[in-house]
Amino acid sequence: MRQKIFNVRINIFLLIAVAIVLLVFLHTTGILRPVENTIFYVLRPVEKAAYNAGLKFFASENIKSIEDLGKSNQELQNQLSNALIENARLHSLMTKSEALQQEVEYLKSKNYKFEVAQIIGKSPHAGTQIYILDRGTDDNIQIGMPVIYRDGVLVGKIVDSDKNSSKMILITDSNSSIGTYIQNETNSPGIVMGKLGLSLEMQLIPQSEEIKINQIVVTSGIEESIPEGLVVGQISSISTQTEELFQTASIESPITLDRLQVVSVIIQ
Amino acid sequence: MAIVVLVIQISFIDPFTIGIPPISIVLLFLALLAFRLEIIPLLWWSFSLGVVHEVFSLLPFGTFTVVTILTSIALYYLLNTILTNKSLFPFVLLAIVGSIIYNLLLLLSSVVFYAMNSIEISLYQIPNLWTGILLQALVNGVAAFILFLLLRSLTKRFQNQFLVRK
Repeated sequence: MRQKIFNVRINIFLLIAVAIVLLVFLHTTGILRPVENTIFYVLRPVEKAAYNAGLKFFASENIKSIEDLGKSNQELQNQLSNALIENARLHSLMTKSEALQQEVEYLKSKNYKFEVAQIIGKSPHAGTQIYILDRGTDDNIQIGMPVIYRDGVLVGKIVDSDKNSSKMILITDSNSSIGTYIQNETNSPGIVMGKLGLSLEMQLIPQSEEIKINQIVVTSGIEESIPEGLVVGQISSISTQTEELFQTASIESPITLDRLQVVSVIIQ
Repeated sequence: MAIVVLVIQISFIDPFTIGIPPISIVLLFLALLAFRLEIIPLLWWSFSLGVVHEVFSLLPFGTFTVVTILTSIALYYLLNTILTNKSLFPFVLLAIVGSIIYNLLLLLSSVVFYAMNSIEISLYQIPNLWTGILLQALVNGVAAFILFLLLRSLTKRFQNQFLVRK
């Protein structure tokens, strides 16, 4: 008579443990990579559809039709005509927008190579601001590359890249830090850090530097693959304490960072 | 089914939440599996759910699989040794406890792997971490309540029954 060493339940536990060890081994050696890529490739259209549906459902105010945009554009133009009377106040607003426009033109003149990617999901780590993009190493996307929105507003950088997908960390994530400077007379340097996925803070600005609200913060190019001059945002408030060596500024990005759909990765 | 649930969570719910997502349908699904299945099929389901999760994760490969399996084992034993009957409130409790166990295990893994330098990004600096976990557990509980009533009206498999210890 055959003797049962283990019962069925223990056998299954052992089998699953062996399967996990085997999977980890196959993943580490890269043998499993084609399977992982296939899973991702097959799921990509479904994820894209689900993300777009989520965007419409949770952020419908940001997804306007061309017709709606046309209407709101007309309304804005009317408002602008009326507001011309308040010339002084409007002048400061115009200066800001001109400065941003100049920044965009500057970036266009740089002729960077972009790879347009769509966000299709979020990495399953609750609380982090790590998004999954539908482009990967096949599209020349590498770790460390900057991710921008429109023509030059920095939104994040690549932290992981596979064949068909990559992961982007938003600049508002607590793990994100970027070398920057303020566009003033002295190009005041500092580091923009993410604050729990909610906001941006520029730290390590020397006390001797004179900074003002509404000044534009751009990347300094200190990181290897992040070029100089990408717009990070504008200073919205300044915290200066005389006993501290450095001053801190809150930075406001010109775009809503947690409602992005299509972004561009600067690949060269 | 596991893939559909996962895609909805990753692409539909998670991207639009900051901090812990208020609802986790992956955990609701896991609670449902623990409620309905015997240990062996439950383990295989958890295994496949965890493996698909790995594709999207930044944690070392295998972490999500182990966390999912450990959560499902904990839920199975909770149901069979403490709750002892299959009815509305045990299911709600499974959803609540499942959320807490799963999040704590993931948090622990993130802390350990970050401390060991296995990952470069600290995945545990989360705004309103503890209230977020508690809120998710409560919302999952409410969702489980609704789901149970809905399923009971659709199928006879969700009638109350006592569990017989084998």
